[in-house]
Amino acid sequence: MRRVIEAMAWIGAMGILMAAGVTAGGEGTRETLQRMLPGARELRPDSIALTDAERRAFRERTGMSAPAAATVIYSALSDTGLIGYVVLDEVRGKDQPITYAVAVGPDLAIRSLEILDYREAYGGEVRNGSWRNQFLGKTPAEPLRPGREISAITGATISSRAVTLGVRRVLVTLDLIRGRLPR
Amino acid sequence: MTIAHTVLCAATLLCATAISQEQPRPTIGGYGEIHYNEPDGTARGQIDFHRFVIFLAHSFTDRISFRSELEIEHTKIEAGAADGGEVALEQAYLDFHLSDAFGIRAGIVLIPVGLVNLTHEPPAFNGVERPAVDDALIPTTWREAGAGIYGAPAEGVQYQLYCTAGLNAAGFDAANGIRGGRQEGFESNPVNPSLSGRLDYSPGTGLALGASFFAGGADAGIDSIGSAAVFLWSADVRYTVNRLSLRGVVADASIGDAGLINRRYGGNVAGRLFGYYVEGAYDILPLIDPASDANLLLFLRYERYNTQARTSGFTPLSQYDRSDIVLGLTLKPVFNVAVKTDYTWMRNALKGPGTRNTGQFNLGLGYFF
Repeated sequence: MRRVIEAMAWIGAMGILMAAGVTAGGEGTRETLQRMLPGARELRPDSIALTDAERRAFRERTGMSAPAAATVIYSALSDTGLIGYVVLDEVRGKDQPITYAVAVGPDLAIRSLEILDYREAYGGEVRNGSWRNQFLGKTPAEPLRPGREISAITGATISSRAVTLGVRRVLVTLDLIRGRLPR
Repeated sequence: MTIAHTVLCAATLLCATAISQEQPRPTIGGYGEIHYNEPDGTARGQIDFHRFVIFLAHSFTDRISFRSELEIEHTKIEAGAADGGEVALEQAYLDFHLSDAFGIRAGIVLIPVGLVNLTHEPPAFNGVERPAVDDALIPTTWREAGAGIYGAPAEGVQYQLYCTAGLNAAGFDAANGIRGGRQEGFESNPVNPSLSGRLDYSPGTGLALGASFFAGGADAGIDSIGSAAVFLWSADVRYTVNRLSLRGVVADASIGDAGLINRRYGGNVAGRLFGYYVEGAYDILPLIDPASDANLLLFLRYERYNTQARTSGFTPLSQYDRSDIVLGLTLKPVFNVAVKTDYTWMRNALKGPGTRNTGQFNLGLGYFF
């Protein structure tokens, strides 16, 4: 009987820790995305899919297959008008999805890169600002190869590579639909 | 009972409301390596599909996930065969990812000591065979059943701390130290709960520092060998700048009551084991083909490992004071496929007639996905 009580107390304690940890979560996704472009008052979502010709162009430019689904693009509006776009996306790390967001200016140059959720057991260094800062100012014209234009993270090769390719995917997609982006 | 029960009910309710349900996302992956080893001299070489591993992972929610690694070593096991391979569950655990700073992990976990034990996919290290220090000093792949906590509390800082089943001194020996003492989650004897942990710090993109330890008794309930306390610590550094990558690992283990262990089991277990390695690798492919995305790493590794660094009651067996030099190439046409070749010079400190320093040529293929 004592062992049963002990076991239940352990499980209960673990449960409380979990509940505390989960409810102590920070700001919501929307707030994070908005914060990525200072001055943004409103995010307006649009869903834009690549045409067949754009998908072919995507493959030619990146060597990767084009995104399967339509891309949700948040137009960021300040008091004076459009100040950029934010895209929320996921890539697979070793075995778990990594959720990240890219914010670009109207010129499609990167203003901010945030890792919103990292679920892998190891290699969380992609969250480090010093690594993410390498992306600032990059445009769709640059190749963004892991280990070349964007240095990989020692000890977190897989996730840094995955995020780099993901950002490249977002930039090229935005570039291909540039003419259809809300102004 | 009532208090514990109330606590449990409350916690369950909180969890149920707090953790958002998402679509299940199971993933599979794997890694493998095939080796050809040819020792110097008259012995023939052999080809071996050394490891074939399947990962199976599942996210129940954004916060709760499962990971596993199932391995077949040496392609098969046969009933009655003395030297067959093995089928082993190398990892199988649940993660409760409460926040980035704090999570709970339970199941069969990797003891977080050294570099290769945690990252043992073949394209992640140079050389066909894993470094000898990650075999004789840090018994890779080292896993035990238990539970612990993990997280990234500050930028560039990550920790892991586990309480697992311990080692069993009955398996310790002169050549491989604590390696034979791993219980590997197989009907593990829980009388020696052991602590292990790791702290990772990466101040920038190119530099990664790690410190890790394992501590616990290994008597497995046998009174006549004392507590057989094992304390192992290790430190590691990795540095990458442009095409050059450097890594180094040092490991030091002490085994308490080694004299009693030897009296009981009749071996030559040392009281202290020590080893280190340093490795440099340079990507020479851009010199040959600057446009290529592939890598061709020329590497050199020096290893020193002594599983008889200090003994009591007998003279250290100097054939186990060893050093290896490994020179080789790793070709990675894509980042997760490696074609490897190397030559390994193996020396030991044994003096006198009949001693021989040997070498071995190795060729290997490795992948992960």
